[in-house]
Amino acid sequence: MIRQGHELDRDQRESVDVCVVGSGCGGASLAAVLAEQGRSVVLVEQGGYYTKDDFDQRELNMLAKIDGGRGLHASDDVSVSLTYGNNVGGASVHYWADSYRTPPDRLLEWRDVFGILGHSEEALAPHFAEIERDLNVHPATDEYANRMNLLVERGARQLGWHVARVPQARKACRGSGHCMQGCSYDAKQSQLVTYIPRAVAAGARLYSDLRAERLEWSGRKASALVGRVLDRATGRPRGPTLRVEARVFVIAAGGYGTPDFLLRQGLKAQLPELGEHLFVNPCPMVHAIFEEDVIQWRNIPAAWGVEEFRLARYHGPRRVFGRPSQSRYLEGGYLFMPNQLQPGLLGAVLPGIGRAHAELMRQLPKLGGTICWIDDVEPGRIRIDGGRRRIEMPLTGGNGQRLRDAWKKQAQLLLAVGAKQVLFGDAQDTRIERAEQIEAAVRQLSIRPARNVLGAPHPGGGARMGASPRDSVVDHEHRVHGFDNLFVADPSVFPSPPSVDPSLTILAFSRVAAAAVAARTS
Amino acid sequence: MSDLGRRQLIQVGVGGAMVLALGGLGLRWLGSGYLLRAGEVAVGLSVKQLCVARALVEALVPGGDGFPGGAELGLVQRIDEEVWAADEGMASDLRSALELLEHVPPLLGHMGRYSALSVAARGEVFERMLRSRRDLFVQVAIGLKQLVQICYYADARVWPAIGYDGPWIKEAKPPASALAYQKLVGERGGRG
Repeated sequence: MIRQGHELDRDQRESVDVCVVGSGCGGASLAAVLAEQGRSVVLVEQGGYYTKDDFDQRELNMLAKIDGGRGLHASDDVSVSLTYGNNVGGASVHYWADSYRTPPDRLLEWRDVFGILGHSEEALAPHFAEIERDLNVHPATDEYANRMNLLVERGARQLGWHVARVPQARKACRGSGHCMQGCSYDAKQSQLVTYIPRAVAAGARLYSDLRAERLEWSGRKASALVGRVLDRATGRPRGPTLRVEARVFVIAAGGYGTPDFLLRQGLKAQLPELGEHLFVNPCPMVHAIFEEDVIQWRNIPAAWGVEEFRLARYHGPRRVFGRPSQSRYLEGGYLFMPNQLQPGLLGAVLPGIGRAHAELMRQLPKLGGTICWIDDVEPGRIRIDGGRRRIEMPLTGGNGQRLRDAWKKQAQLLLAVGAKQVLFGDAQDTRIERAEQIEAAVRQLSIRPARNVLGAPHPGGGARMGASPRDSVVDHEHRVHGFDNLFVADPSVFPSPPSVDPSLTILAFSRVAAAAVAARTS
Repeated sequence: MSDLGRRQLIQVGVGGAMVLALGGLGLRWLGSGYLLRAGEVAVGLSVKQLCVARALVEALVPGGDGFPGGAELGLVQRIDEEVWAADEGMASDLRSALELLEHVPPLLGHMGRYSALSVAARGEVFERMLRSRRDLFVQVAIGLKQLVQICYYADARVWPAIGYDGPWIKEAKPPASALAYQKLVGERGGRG
């Protein structure tokens, strides 16, 4: 059963085994597992419930329906644009469908450096196998590679960089290129078409347009969650409330939403690490004008990805997220992908204004570009100030080094495959036409606030996992330190970025959380 | 906008006002002379802010040579809608950004309010903000630039000029916020 906000005219009460806040990868998959094991489950989602019939491929319409902050939110100093879901299915509805297992080196780091137990490669392998079956994850085949994808593949091979087909969660994709606007064909295997229907079929009850506001406590236990129905048109509370009494509460509101919710419960004093250690995978884009048409807006965003630089190279030991550097940075520390933007967003991120900008956009079919997901090493933080969520995200230090290297490598590849002009998209509108200009151009790029357009699509770390409340927020079973029945199941628990798209890691971790919740509700 | 940004905003505002006072233009200049055009309605923005947004649209997406002008597309009403639909914090930032833009020209070499400058001078002021060493100017300019340009290039009437073949789904399905906003505009006698 799915009940939408407009269907609720008076206060509601529920009493269940498990109450889950958030319906993205973390919440939906956990709800499905527990409901299929016979637990009574209520899912609470702040955003609206939309299906493929609501996805009209218009950027502004879809930003309003499925993006948190309608795509307008940015970090405190406007350095990075915050991208997150606000709908049933969460960010999985607008993601690119890139679906990597957590690299074994990162799982080892989490165990050896951060002391994470129970999430080893061996422990997660059966979960990954099942998730990949459920989501039909396969490497992208040739028919999905648009011209920009092929240029990235060719350029990487030409430069001797390791390039590979990107694993995709899709079934019978039509190649419209509107993945970021929600799939109109149910081809992308988001939570909307996978674990949410399964959870609902197994008896879970989902409330959309409902903001979780307050937990009520009974000693070390949460006893009830109180939420308010939102008016979908304005996003403001409409009146009716929902009160859910449950044996266990699971917060899965996403990398921004979960620390935000827990901070608003006044838990910072008990959990000093709450909201700290934030990472977002800031992503610098580089644009290029080619002689040929590349039509980057069609087919899937990333059929090929450059994996050569996923792990940063250092002269000495590799640096770990949030730890001081003991070695000299050499290069890398990011995944490198073709970029795909529809004209509204592309127009907004291209440099310049007026006639010059229009002339650039007139070349749209010949405009291509690339993007890198930076594996952050300098942590940011989330705090609540005057009722408003504030995101601090440093682009200096190790993050800045990686940004500069990512700009260089992107320019290098784009020029190698025939770009006649490369645009860095910065406020100064830096452009180059020859490889020998790269070093000087990148050196003068400023990383002061708002000088570059950077997305922040993969937040996490704000409620990280660890052994004690001195250095973390949740334990190895995803249970919040100091509370018997409060859990977190989303990327907030990761101790550092997973170095790949996080969706499969979130799904696999959620299954570990589901097992712990199941044990407490048996 | 950060606390630092807010402090800077106040400082810039005070600085701007001092420049104006020294110029003998007086405080009347700060808040008067703003008129809506036929069909315009200020719902998310004040009348003054909507006039500034209109001036900005004319500078950033002037149209011509196959491109429709932002004004002709009713872009200023679209921006008003975004502010109306945004959460309180974001709406407040956008309104502050437009207020700053209106009074910043004296600090960037142009005497007069932004909305009273020629289109060319508005473009020049905006370029200076984008290239400024002062973080606040760049933050404001980038935020406004992106809002105007995404609204413009996401509009189907612009696509023929840029060679974009458009969505495969033929029927637009506006969000609940757009329908509610249109209703409000209609009730107030606007065109939307």
